[in-house]
Amino acid sequence: MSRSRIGERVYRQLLRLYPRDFSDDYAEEMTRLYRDRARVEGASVWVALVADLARTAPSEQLSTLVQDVRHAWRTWRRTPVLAFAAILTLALGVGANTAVFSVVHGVLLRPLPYPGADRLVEVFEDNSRAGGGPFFRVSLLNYLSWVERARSFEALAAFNGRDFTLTEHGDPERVLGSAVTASLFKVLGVGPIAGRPLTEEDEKPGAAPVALLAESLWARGFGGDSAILGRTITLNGVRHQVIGIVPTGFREIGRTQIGSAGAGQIFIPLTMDTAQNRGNHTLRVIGRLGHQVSLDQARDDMRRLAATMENEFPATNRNWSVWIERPQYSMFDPRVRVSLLVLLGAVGGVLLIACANVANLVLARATGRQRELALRAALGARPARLARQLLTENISLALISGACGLTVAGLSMQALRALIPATIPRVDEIRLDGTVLFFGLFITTACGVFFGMAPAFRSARSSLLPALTQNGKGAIGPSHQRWRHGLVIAQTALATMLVVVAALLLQSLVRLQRVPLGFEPGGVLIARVSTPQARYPDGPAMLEFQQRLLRSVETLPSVQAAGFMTSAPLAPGVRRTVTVRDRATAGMSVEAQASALEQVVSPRLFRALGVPLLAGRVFGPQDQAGSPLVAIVSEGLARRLWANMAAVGRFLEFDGRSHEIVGVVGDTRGSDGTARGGGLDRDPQPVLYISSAQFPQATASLVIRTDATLRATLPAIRDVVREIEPTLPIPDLRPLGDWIADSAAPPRLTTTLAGAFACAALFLTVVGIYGVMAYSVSQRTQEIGVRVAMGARRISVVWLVLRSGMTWAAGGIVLGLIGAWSISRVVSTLLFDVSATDPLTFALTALVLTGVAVLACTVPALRATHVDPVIALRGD
Amino acid sequence: MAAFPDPDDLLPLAVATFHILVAVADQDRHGYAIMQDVATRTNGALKLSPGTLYGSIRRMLDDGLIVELSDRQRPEEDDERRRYYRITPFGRSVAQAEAARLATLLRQAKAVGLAPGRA
Repeated sequence: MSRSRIGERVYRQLLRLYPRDFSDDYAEEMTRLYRDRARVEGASVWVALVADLARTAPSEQLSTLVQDVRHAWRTWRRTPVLAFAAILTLALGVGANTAVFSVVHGVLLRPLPYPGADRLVEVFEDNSRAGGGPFFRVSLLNYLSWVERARSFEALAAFNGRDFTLTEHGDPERVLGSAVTASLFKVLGVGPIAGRPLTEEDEKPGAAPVALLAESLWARGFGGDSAILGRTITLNGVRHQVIGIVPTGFREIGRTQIGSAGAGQIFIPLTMDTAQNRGNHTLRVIGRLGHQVSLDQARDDMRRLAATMENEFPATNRNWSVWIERPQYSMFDPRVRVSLLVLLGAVGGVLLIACANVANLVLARATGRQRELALRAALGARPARLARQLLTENISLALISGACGLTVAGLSMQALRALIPATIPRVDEIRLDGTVLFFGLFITTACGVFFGMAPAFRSARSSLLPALTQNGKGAIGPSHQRWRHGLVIAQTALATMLVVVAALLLQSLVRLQRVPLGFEPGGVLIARVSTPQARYPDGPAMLEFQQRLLRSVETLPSVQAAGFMTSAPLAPGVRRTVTVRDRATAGMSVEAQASALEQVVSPRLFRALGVPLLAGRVFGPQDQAGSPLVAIVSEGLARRLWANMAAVGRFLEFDGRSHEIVGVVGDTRGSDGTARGGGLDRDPQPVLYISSAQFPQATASLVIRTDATLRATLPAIRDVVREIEPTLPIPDLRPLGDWIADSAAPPRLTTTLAGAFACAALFLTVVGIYGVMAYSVSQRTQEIGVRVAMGARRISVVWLVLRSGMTWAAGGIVLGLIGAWSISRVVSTLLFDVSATDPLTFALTALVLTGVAVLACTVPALRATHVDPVIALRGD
Repeated sequence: MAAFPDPDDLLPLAVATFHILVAVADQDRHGYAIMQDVATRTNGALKLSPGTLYGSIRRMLDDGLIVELSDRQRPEEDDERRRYYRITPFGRSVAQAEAARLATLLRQAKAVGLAPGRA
């Protein structure tokens, strides 16, 4: 082959870079031009040719695209109602999906703001074997043993939440913060932005008190002035030297406090007071995994270590293992994660249903345009060109919808952020960022391709003759019908699944809100109160102050009772779990032993909270510092230790002491020792009450029962506090009912959204079924006309249409029920007191969907009865 | 067919477009002949490459500046069955408008001494 022939071939191949119709039109001429120039100029022509190709091929492609988009715009303008319906449907679908995804991304997927955040884990003590669950806090001594012996971590750090009273600017202020180990800086990989980090010297008992401030407190309270470094501030009445400022990223640590939405503002060293009991679970522990260490390896390593320690310290560590979780998951209840994923699935289902509807619209429109397309094909338009144009039409529609959808997402995100309970961490990190925009764009394009491809392929294969001869109508083949029926089945199935899930969640929420709490929250106000340690340094002084405060509060006419407890149910506070055993069985082969939440309470606490006394007595004036140690147990704890036998008069051992049980009180929900606190849906956990007169505590929850509103009570209480102790911050009283509502907020949000999505799904499905049936009736006008002419009765015509529609819908309902059943395992984790395969719910859903489908079919069916046989038979 | 727009709406013309209009102004030509004509008139400074040439031709056809001749209209001596293009009256008025625009521009350039000759 001559060189010029080879060159020509290569050039012909290169011409494929142009749009198909351009190269089809001009390839021949362009090759000829190449040949003419090559004859004259030789191989040097290629320099100009390649440059020409690089410049003009993309611009020709672009101009074809612009042409297609213009054409798309013109054709959509011819059917504005259809275009509007499609854009609205898709925009809502894309918007809702993007909004929900932004929440999932912001809360679950986005890494924590620390370098190498994928290696950060939270370490828990796992009490599953004793029925307590895997998320317990860690005892200081166990933490120290881990630091010494665990091999999987580059570093481990411990911290726990603290309340601080900051008296710096006039009124004392209550500020949240944490006591942290020096290693926290190493674990997080974040240092102070000014000053120095903590050192191990700072952790030693007796070290000079120091503190680090969060950037926000530094800016708000001290004007961002670095002169604060080295100066002292008063925390809980004690002077602390400010040694550094920590960046905002540190707030995650403050957030991990139970039930606390507020970010940590002050960080002090965690004192290594090794005189504590090993069974005293008070710390949260985070670790940085070593390089090349996987989560599973670390779990295995720590479980082995825990087993060894069980043998070494049987009194405190029996039945305790270790559980490790990524902080994104451990920061909040695993149910939050499941509910977000269920919501993402639900909203995705709504989008699919919306897509099915739009696909139906587009299919109907494509059928209507069969003549136009067939005509253009006859005039020489190639099938690929027509398909490309249809695809462009649909994708440009999808992109417009997507743009509207992102606006919808932006707006609904505002609403979502307001709806999401503040107790869910990282809510403020929800925003429309690159990833979320990419997600929105991706699903938009996917939608466009999904509903755009089908008609594009169909028209590419459509035959010319029937389209031109039968006025467009006869052109729909059986496969076209199959598509539409497939869409009806799919969307009915999805809607069924969504309705089942929403109905289950709703029942669960109703039961959750009716669950007996074991106390009476109506009229109860709660606040955390820290006794000023500088003014009341020892136990007797603290006790005297707290008793004086309670007495004064109780003198208020609207207050019925007041008391202190370590932490109120479902409200923030410290939770400490202790292992208790029956003294009579101590040292025997089978000990009566149980884990219980320790609550230090004042005598009238039970009255204030409304917890019933079941046996014996509550604490009284006879229970003093020097008198025999006493305890009250919850019904559940008594049952666990002694089954049905009486508890009063027995002796319990824990923390190396022996307490006589003087009373039994009812179980309460929302009090358990897991790091995240208990939820309404958790069964009441065993509680051990000891007397604050015998074990005074500096910080506790003040519980006030009143018959007046918060607003009416607050001024009086403020006056009482000012009078008794001016350095005490005014208690931040909040109705206990509000805390309970907060704890039910995540399921309420899930249920609200799932319900909204189910309603949207139902509505879209009705529209979808209606559309398909109405279209099918219009296509069968002639057939129905024949039937009417042959004497078919109205009812049989109605039945004809209903039957065909209901067959497909019934198929969808059955599939949907199967689908709902298959996801029941996931859904069940969100349900309280309702089975995820509850037969009644399934049956009622099937009934509702059937009713909805009948409704959607009825209008087209009735219209079919009005077909005039004469007109129908005459044809168009 | 829609009425032709005002010739001024298409101004200024792309260099290639104007050259093609000039090339087909006095006689119908095929692609290669257009290219040669342009090259001759510019002393070889402008050689239209295939992509530029046919890209321009396609747009000019769309804009109604030129038309493609049917088989019957082709010159008889052509045996290669090439495609020939002819300027339309609208194309001619657009070319005239562009020439006038350039002439005005040249006159202004001369007036300030940017071009040889007198204003």
